[in-house]
Amino acid sequence: MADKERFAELAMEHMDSLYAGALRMTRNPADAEDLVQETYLKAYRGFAGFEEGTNLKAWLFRILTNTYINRYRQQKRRPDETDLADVEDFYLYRRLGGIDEARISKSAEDTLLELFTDDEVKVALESLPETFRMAVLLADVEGFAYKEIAEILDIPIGTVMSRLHRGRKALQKALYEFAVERGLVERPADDVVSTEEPATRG
Amino acid sequence: MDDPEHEHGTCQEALEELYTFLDGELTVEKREHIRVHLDDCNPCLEHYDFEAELRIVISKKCREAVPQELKDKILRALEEA
Repeated sequence: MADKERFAELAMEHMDSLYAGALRMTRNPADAEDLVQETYLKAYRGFAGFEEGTNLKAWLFRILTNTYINRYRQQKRRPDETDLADVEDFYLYRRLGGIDEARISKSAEDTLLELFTDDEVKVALESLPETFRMAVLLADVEGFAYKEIAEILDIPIGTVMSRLHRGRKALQKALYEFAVERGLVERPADDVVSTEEPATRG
Repeated sequence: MDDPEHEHGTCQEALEELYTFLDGELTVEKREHIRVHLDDCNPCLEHYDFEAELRIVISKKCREAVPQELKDKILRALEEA
Protein backbone atom coordinates (compact mmCIF):
# COMPACT_ATOMS: atom_id res chain seq x y z
CA MET A 1 0.00 0.00 0.00
CA ALA A 2 1.46 3.32 -1.02
CA ASP A 3 0.06 5.02 2.03
CA LYS A 4 1.94 2.62 4.27
CA GLU A 5 5.22 3.23 2.49
CA ARG A 6 4.66 6.95 2.60
CA PHE A 7 4.02 6.81 6.34
CA ALA A 8 7.16 4.79 7.03
CA GLU A 9 9.20 7.04 4.79
CA LEU A 10 8.10 10.19 6.61
CA ALA A 11 7.72 8.97 10.17
CA MET A 12 10.69 6.68 10.74
CA GLU A 13 13.20 9.51 10.88
CA HIS A 14 11.50 10.91 13.99
CA MET A 15 11.75 7.69 15.94
CA ASP A 16 14.91 8.64 17.87
CA SER A 17 13.18 11.75 19.17
CA LEU A 18 9.99 9.90 20.03
CA TYR A 19 11.97 7.21 21.80
CA ALA A 20 13.93 9.82 23.79
CA GLY A 21 10.65 11.49 24.76
CA ALA A 22 9.12 8.17 25.73
CA LEU A 23 12.14 7.34 27.90
CA ARG A 24 11.98 10.65 29.72
CA MET A 25 8.28 10.21 30.34
CA THR A 26 8.17 6.55 31.37
CA ARG A 27 11.69 6.49 32.86
CA ASN A 28 11.83 2.87 31.84
CA PRO A 29 13.15 1.36 28.58
CA ALA A 30 10.58 -1.45 28.35
CA ASP A 31 7.65 0.95 28.80
CA ALA A 32 9.29 3.44 26.44
CA GLU A 33 9.52 0.79 23.72
CA ASP A 34 5.87 -0.15 24.16
CA LEU A 35 4.87 3.49 24.08
CA VAL A 36 6.78 4.21 20.88
CA GLN A 37 5.39 1.14 19.18
CA GLU A 38 1.84 1.99 20.17
CA THR A 39 2.36 5.57 19.02
CA TYR A 40 3.54 4.47 15.59
CA LEU A 41 0.70 2.02 15.14
CA LYS A 42 -1.88 4.62 16.15
CA ALA A 43 -0.23 7.21 13.94
CA TYR A 44 -0.27 4.83 11.01
CA ARG A 45 -3.95 4.03 11.51
CA GLY A 46 -4.76 7.72 11.79
CA PHE A 47 -2.41 8.81 9.04
CA ALA A 48 -5.27 9.77 6.75
CA GLY A 49 -6.08 12.51 9.26
CA PHE A 50 -2.61 13.98 9.06
CA GLU A 51 -2.40 17.05 6.93
CA GLU A 52 0.69 16.80 4.79
CA GLY A 53 2.84 19.87 4.96
CA THR A 54 2.12 20.36 8.65
CA ASN A 55 4.57 19.28 11.30
CA LEU A 56 4.62 15.49 11.37
CA LYS A 57 6.94 15.32 14.35
CA ALA A 58 4.55 17.50 16.40
CA TRP A 59 1.67 15.30 15.31
CA LEU A 60 3.55 12.18 16.42
CA PHE A 61 4.40 13.76 19.76
CA ARG A 62 0.76 14.61 20.29
CA ILE A 63 -0.13 10.95 19.83
CA LEU A 64 2.75 9.93 22.09
CA THR A 65 1.73 12.22 24.95
CA ASN A 66 -1.94 11.28 24.67
CA THR A 67 -1.07 7.61 24.67
CA TYR A 68 1.23 8.11 27.61
CA ILE A 69 -1.42 9.98 29.58
CA ASN A 70 -4.08 7.39 28.89
CA ARG A 71 -1.90 4.41 29.62
CA TYR A 72 0.42 5.41 32.36
CA ARG A 73 -1.40 8.10 34.23
CA GLN A 74 -4.63 6.38 35.13
CA GLN A 75 -3.77 5.98 38.79
CA LYS A 76 -2.92 9.60 39.20
CA ARG A 77 -5.62 11.59 40.95
CA ARG A 78 -4.41 15.08 41.46
CA PRO A 79 -2.33 17.34 39.29
CA ASP A 80 1.25 17.45 40.44
CA GLU A 81 1.76 21.20 40.19
CA THR A 82 1.96 21.39 43.95
CA ASP A 83 4.88 18.95 44.00
CA LEU A 84 7.13 21.57 42.51
CA ALA A 85 8.82 23.88 44.99
CA ASP A 86 9.08 27.48 43.95
CA VAL A 87 12.61 28.27 42.83
CA GLU A 88 14.14 31.66 42.17
CA ASP A 89 14.68 32.83 38.59
CA PHE A 90 17.97 32.01 36.85
CA TYR A 91 18.87 29.63 39.63
CA LEU A 92 21.88 28.12 37.90
CA TYR A 93 23.32 31.28 36.41
CA ARG A 94 23.30 32.95 39.79
CA ARG A 95 25.41 30.14 41.16
CA LEU A 96 27.52 29.01 38.22
CA GLY A 97 27.55 32.01 35.92
CA GLY A 98 30.94 33.60 35.50
CA ILE A 99 32.86 30.93 37.37
CA ASP A 100 33.86 28.99 34.26
CA GLU A 101 37.12 30.81 33.77
CA ALA A 102 37.99 30.91 37.43
CA ARG A 103 37.38 27.31 38.38
CA ILE A 104 37.72 25.15 35.33
CA SER A 105 40.55 24.88 32.89
CA LYS A 106 38.48 25.72 29.95
CA SER A 107 38.84 24.86 26.36
CA ALA A 108 36.07 25.75 23.98
CA GLU A 109 34.54 22.33 24.40
CA ASP A 110 35.13 21.98 28.08
CA THR A 111 32.87 24.42 29.82
CA LEU A 112 31.31 23.89 33.19
CA LEU A 113 27.96 23.01 31.68
CA GLU A 114 29.59 20.38 29.50
CA LEU A 115 30.86 18.66 32.61
CA PHE A 116 27.39 17.42 33.43
CA THR A 117 27.11 13.82 32.30
CA ASP A 118 24.34 12.64 30.01
CA ASP A 119 22.87 10.70 32.90
CA GLU A 120 22.82 13.70 35.20
CA VAL A 121 20.97 15.81 32.70
CA LYS A 122 18.51 12.99 31.99
CA VAL A 123 17.90 12.30 35.67
CA ALA A 124 17.48 16.02 36.37
CA LEU A 125 14.86 16.28 33.66
CA GLU A 126 13.16 13.10 34.80
CA SER A 127 12.98 14.44 38.33
CA LEU A 128 10.47 17.10 37.26
CA PRO A 129 6.79 16.47 37.88
CA GLU A 130 5.21 15.09 34.75
CA THR A 131 3.37 18.16 33.45
CA PHE A 132 6.49 20.30 33.73
CA ARG A 133 8.71 17.57 32.35
CA MET A 134 6.64 17.32 29.19
CA ALA A 135 6.71 21.05 28.56
CA VAL A 136 10.46 21.36 29.14
CA LEU A 137 11.17 18.28 27.05
CA LEU A 138 9.15 19.57 24.12
CA ALA A 139 10.71 23.04 24.25
CA ASP A 140 14.29 22.52 25.34
CA VAL A 141 15.08 19.08 23.98
CA GLU A 142 12.88 18.99 20.89
CA GLY A 143 12.75 22.71 20.14
CA PHE A 144 9.02 22.97 19.51
CA ALA A 145 7.42 26.42 19.40
CA TYR A 146 4.97 27.48 22.12
CA LYS A 147 2.08 27.09 19.73
CA GLU A 148 3.11 23.56 18.80
CA ILE A 149 3.52 22.61 22.46
CA ALA A 150 0.09 24.05 23.19
CA GLU A 151 -1.35 21.83 20.47
CA ILE A 152 0.59 18.74 21.49
CA LEU A 153 -0.46 19.04 25.14
CA ASP A 154 -3.84 20.56 24.39
CA ILE A 155 -3.36 23.47 26.77
CA PRO A 156 -3.38 27.26 26.26
CA ILE A 157 -0.15 29.01 25.29
CA GLY A 158 -0.13 30.89 28.60
CA THR A 159 -0.08 27.56 30.42
CA VAL A 160 2.79 26.39 28.22
CA MET A 161 4.77 29.45 29.21
CA SER A 162 4.12 29.14 32.91
CA ARG A 163 4.96 25.44 32.91
CA LEU A 164 8.18 26.18 31.06
CA HIS A 165 9.02 28.95 33.46
CA ARG A 166 8.60 26.82 36.56
CA GLY A 167 9.91 23.64 35.01
CA ARG A 168 13.13 25.24 33.79
CA LYS A 169 13.86 26.71 37.18
CA ALA A 170 13.34 23.34 38.83
CA LEU A 171 15.55 21.67 36.23
CA GLN A 172 18.30 24.18 36.94
CA LYS A 173 18.04 23.50 40.64
CA ALA A 174 18.32 19.76 40.07
CA LEU A 175 21.41 20.29 37.91
CA TYR A 176 22.96 22.51 40.53
CA GLU A 177 22.52 19.81 43.14
CA PHE A 178 24.48 17.43 40.88
CA ALA A 179 27.23 20.02 40.45
CA VAL A 180 27.54 20.41 44.20
CA GLU A 181 27.36 16.67 44.84
CA ARG A 182 30.15 15.98 42.40
CA GLY A 183 32.31 18.79 43.70
CA LEU A 184 32.20 20.72 40.44
CA VAL A 185 31.30 23.72 42.54
CA GLU A 186 31.21 24.43 46.22
CA ARG A 187 27.99 25.57 47.71
CA PRO A 188 28.74 29.02 49.09
CA ALA A 189 28.20 29.27 52.84
CA ASP A 190 25.62 31.97 52.33
CA ASP A 191 23.64 30.07 49.74
CA VAL A 192 20.46 29.70 51.65
CA VAL A 193 18.54 26.78 50.27
CA SER A 194 15.34 28.73 50.30
CA THR A 195 12.59 29.47 47.89
CA GLU A 196 12.59 33.21 48.41
CA GLU A 197 13.74 35.77 45.91
CA PRO A 198 16.98 37.36 47.02
CA ALA A 199 16.39 40.91 48.22
CA THR A 200 19.16 42.29 46.03
CA ARG A 201 17.23 42.08 42.77
CA GLY A 202 15.74 45.12 41.07
CA MET B 1 23.52 54.50 26.46
CA ASP B 2 24.78 57.34 28.67
CA ASP B 3 21.69 57.33 30.77
CA PRO B 4 22.23 54.74 33.53
CA GLU B 5 18.54 54.69 34.44
CA HIS B 6 17.59 53.88 30.91
CA GLU B 7 20.33 51.30 30.68
CA HIS B 8 19.18 49.59 33.84
CA GLY B 9 15.64 49.43 32.53
CA THR B 10 16.85 47.78 29.34
CA CYS B 11 18.84 45.19 31.30
CA GLN B 12 15.77 44.26 33.25
CA GLU B 13 13.74 44.02 30.08
CA ALA B 14 16.44 41.86 28.50
CA LEU B 15 16.35 39.45 31.41
CA GLU B 16 12.58 39.34 31.45
CA GLU B 17 12.59 38.40 27.78
CA LEU B 18 15.56 36.03 27.97
CA TYR B 19 13.62 32.81 27.52
CA THR B 20 11.17 34.17 24.99
CA PHE B 21 14.20 35.37 23.05
CA LEU B 22 15.94 31.99 23.21
CA ASP B 23 12.67 30.28 22.40
CA GLY B 24 12.45 32.37 19.23
CA GLU B 25 9.07 33.70 20.28
CA LEU B 26 9.70 37.46 20.22
CA THR B 27 8.50 39.81 17.54
CA VAL B 28 11.15 40.91 15.06
CA GLU B 29 11.20 44.43 16.53
CA LYS B 30 11.57 43.27 20.10
CA ARG B 31 14.21 40.77 19.13
CA GLU B 32 16.18 43.45 17.35
CA HIS B 33 15.79 45.79 20.33
CA ILE B 34 17.34 43.18 22.59
CA ARG B 35 20.05 42.28 20.15
CA VAL B 36 21.13 45.92 20.06
CA HIS B 37 21.21 45.94 23.85
CA LEU B 38 23.29 42.76 23.97
CA ASP B 39 25.84 44.28 21.62
CA ASP B 40 26.41 46.96 24.22
CA CYS B 41 25.94 45.16 27.49
CA ASN B 42 28.43 42.50 28.49
CA PRO B 43 26.72 41.32 31.68
CA CYS B 44 23.48 40.66 29.81
CA LEU B 45 25.34 39.03 26.94
CA GLU B 46 27.14 36.71 29.32
CA HIS B 47 23.89 35.73 30.94
CA TYR B 48 22.29 35.08 27.55
CA ASP B 49 25.27 32.98 26.49
CA PHE B 50 25.07 30.93 29.65
CA GLU B 51 21.39 30.14 29.19
CA ALA B 52 21.87 29.43 25.49
CA GLU B 53 24.69 27.04 26.22
CA LEU B 54 22.67 25.35 28.94
CA ARG B 55 19.91 24.80 26.40
CA ILE B 56 22.33 23.18 23.98
CA VAL B 57 23.77 20.97 26.72
CA ILE B 58 20.31 19.82 27.80
CA SER B 59 19.17 18.94 24.31
CA LYS B 60 22.45 17.28 23.35
CA LYS B 61 22.67 15.16 26.48
CA CYS B 62 19.09 13.96 26.31
CA ARG B 63 19.47 12.40 22.87
CA GLU B 64 18.81 8.70 22.42
CA ALA B 65 19.19 6.27 19.60
CA VAL B 66 16.22 3.98 19.19
CA PRO B 67 17.34 0.33 19.48
CA GLN B 68 17.51 -1.34 16.09
CA GLU B 69 15.37 -4.24 17.36
CA LEU B 70 12.57 -1.80 18.18
CA LYS B 71 12.83 -0.18 14.78
CA ASP B 72 12.60 -3.59 13.09
CA LYS B 73 9.73 -4.62 15.33
CA ILE B 74 7.75 -1.49 14.50
CA LEU B 75 8.40 -1.86 10.79
CA ARG B 76 7.19 -5.45 10.97
CA ALA B 77 4.11 -4.38 12.94
CA LEU B 78 3.36 -1.75 10.31
CA GLU B 79 3.63 -4.37 7.58
CA GLU B 80 1.02 -6.45 9.34
CA ALA B 81 -1.22 -3.54 10.27
